[in-house]
Amino acid sequence: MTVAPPAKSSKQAVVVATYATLAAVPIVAAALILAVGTDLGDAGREVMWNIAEWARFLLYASAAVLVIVIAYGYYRRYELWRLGKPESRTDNWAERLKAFLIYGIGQGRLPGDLYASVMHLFIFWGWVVLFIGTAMLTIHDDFYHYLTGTTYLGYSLTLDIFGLLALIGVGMALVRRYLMRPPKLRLASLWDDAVLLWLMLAILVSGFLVEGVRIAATELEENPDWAGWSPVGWVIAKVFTEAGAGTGLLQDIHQAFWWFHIPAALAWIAWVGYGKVAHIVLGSANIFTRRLSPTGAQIASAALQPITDFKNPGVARLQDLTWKQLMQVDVCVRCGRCEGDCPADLNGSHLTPMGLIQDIHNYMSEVGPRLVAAQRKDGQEAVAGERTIAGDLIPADVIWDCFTCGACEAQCPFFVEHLSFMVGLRRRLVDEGTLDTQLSDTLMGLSRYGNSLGQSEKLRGRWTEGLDFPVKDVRQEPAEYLWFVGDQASYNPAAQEVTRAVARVFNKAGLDFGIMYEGEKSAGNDVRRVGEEGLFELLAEDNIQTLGECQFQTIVTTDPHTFNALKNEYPAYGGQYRICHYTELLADLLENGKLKPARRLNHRVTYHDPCYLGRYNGVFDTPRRVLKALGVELVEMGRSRERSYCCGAGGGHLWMQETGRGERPSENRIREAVALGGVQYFVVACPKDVSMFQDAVKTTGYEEEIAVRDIVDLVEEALEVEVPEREATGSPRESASAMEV
Amino acid sequence: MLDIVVPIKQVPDLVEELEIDPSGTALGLERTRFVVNELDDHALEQALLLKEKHQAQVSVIALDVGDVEETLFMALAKGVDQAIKISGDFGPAPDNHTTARVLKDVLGGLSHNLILTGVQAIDDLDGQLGILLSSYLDLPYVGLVSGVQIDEGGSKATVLKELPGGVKAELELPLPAVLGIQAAEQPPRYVPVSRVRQAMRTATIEERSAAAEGNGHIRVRRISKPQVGAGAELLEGSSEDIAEQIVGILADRGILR
Repeated sequence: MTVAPPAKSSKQAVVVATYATLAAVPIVAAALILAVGTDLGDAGREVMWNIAEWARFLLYASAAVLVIVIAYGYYRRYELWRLGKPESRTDNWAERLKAFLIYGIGQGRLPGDLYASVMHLFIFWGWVVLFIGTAMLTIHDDFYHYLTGTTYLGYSLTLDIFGLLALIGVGMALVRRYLMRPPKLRLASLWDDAVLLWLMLAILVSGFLVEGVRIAATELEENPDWAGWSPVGWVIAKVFTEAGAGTGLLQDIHQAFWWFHIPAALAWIAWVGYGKVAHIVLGSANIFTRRLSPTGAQIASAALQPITDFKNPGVARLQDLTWKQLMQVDVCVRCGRCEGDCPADLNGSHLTPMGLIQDIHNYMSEVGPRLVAAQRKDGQEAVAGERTIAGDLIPADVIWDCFTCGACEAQCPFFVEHLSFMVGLRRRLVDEGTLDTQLSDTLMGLSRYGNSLGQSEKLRGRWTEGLDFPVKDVRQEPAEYLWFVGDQASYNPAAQEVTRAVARVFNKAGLDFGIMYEGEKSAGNDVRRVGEEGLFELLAEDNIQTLGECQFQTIVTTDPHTFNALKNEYPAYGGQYRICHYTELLADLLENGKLKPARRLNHRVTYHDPCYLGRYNGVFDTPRRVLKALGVELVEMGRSRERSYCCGAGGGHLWMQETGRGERPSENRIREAVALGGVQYFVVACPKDVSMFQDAVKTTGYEEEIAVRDIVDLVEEALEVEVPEREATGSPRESASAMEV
Repeated sequence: MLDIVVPIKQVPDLVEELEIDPSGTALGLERTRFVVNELDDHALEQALLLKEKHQAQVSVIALDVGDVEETLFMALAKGVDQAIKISGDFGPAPDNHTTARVLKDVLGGLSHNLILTGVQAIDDLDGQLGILLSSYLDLPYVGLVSGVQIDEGGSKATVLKELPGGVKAELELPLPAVLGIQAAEQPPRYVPVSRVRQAMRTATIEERSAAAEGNGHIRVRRISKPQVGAGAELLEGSSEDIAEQIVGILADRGILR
């Protein structure tokens, strides 16, 4: 199998190279110093040269005031977060510290947008090194004299280089904001985003000017050997001396720049307590308190605990969110990465994950302080400007637009958990009855018949009638594997053929398996995602009871959604099982020789990661191992693995009217696959995907170019010895129901 | 105060194949699954809409037939004020004459100025219940109603009827009155399972008993499934086989080339 290099790896390489460059700077500086020799022993500079002594005290007094100003900024937000419900996010410190190091200090969630990554790395490391440099200087000046000789020169070179990098980064940011203007930056604000950026430019430029003028006045003539260790300063010094500035003038200019530089820097630091730069602290805090489990286990978060307050379910007020959720809305820096792979955003729905977080943030900033004041007075009186979050602040159609695919969460550099908001908001809407009639019909059907297709439960096992061997009823006799088939795979004619293929392959591998027939009900994964918590509980309780009456060792599921619910959500209701997805079982059977492919397949295919298998549960490699064992050529789409693009059926959308106003996500995905060039098969591992993408292939008119096939279909093909006629032509395999009329 | 009473009933759920009782004169109800009659659900929705608008008091009453408690608890979860289950010796499938007489008895002890019921039910397609009730209670009746407005004083109702040919009629009638509902002004609302379960734990269904006097003098002679007539050809096999056969037939008849 040859894997075409995904577009991402080149970006990663550049980011790695950027890191390497940054790390190399101090090493190179140290090496140079060692090489240049020893006669620079008395190198150094007078700290606060040319500045009145009282300015030093003013500076330190300002620093003390700054600490209070910043602390007050956080205290004000902290008071707002305390409006929220409790939630425990401080367990497992070691793991949390590791997350902080990787994703905070290490900027581990940067790769994605190359330009923005380099830009941010330059600014980040520039600022970090300049901050450390300033702190070192304070120690040197006030406590322990050590920045002399080669140490000083190395220090000087390193700071100059990082200052320059920061300058380049800020320049890149300005170019991006004013010339490139990517649409995701549309929520940028004047004060918090634009002014702040210009302030950073001013701080860097004025800092270099202060340095340059000082060098022109004190070093260029007397110690020219030292001056070269501040390359940027040296260039500026040269400019000033070439222009013929005398010492007196240089001293005046120096003071002017200094008195501009210092207040500008102090103002920026004060901002750390208030505006966008607060993400240095808030981002770190949010990364530290992030959900450690995979997305699939998110319901374990307190935000989505089962409903206990039946009079008041879901999210109506700020107080219905947890402190962690409230903190998250303050973390967002409007970078817009969450929108990049969002199917709702791309198909022209009203929802954008960034807009959701920002709307709640702005609302909290406006109304939150009044709620805090009202709580202090212990009064229950209405607070001016208070709105219901679900349905009013965030309109119902926006809440229903979400596919719960998790692409936003996978992208957020600070691990904002958008989905925890979505499900809470939907619970409220469901309680109020603000839901699509098609969805409410489906939910009624689910509560009556236990399946989302509104069919009789007696028909659940009818797909087995197309097999030439019986399938065990695991309620009657024990089996090693209990196959939890799922609604779509059981009832949907488009998926049933795949379901039978799974059964045939299991049978061929000699697997001891059985199904629960009409005893099985929908696992309820998407019922929970649409916010019908009570129905989810009912389904879970029924399934757990039936499963309890069966004898088996492992559950295997066809549907990744079912897989997610059984694996991550049933334990809270007393259902603890060994669970695997059929792709995992297929990989095992192929690797331990229970399934022996009769031939290698020569197809060129691409694989679509189902959201609830990949992003939600981290099963990325196993299906690819299956494909590898079959010998097919796998070509990866740009959006694969964590970035996989939702088919548009998730989060209950299979049961709703289409909400999008633009291209369907599934069609967008098929175009992406076709654009790879020469890919015969679009391989899926989810029954919903089969019908979603088969439709999309038809509506996009790519029936000649590409065909949708379930992974098990390829496995079965590889097990057949003879080469069927239709394969020899290399054209996409006709589906069984296709007819030429 | 507007007092609305909604008589509802359960009918066989068509998601399952119907079975005919060995007697050949009734449905085999032993294994039948029941569901609320759809138009009764619309009547309930219309009552709830009026309740929201006029702070009306809504009572739902039903004869104890099928799994009627399930429907009554669901109505309680939706927000009705009172749910009454009526028991009596009316058998498992009372006809509308019997039902109307039983309901008349119970309604005698129940304050009411508007009675809303589904205009007909799928198990008999008879459409008589509202009419019979109105004559027993000597009240005006309008059927096939798809919109109800009550005036401020609660003394009269303006109802909407959609007539064939795209014509709408607005009728006015004094209250109390009986209305046969064809459709509520909005689709019946969804009630979350947690609320239904909550209702089952906390709300109570009142029980009344009433005597069933007589019936409609109509006797069911035979209930059967349609007979395969001469000239009809039944296509058998899987849905794919059938689809192929249909294509073949259409091609034979020259409709497809």
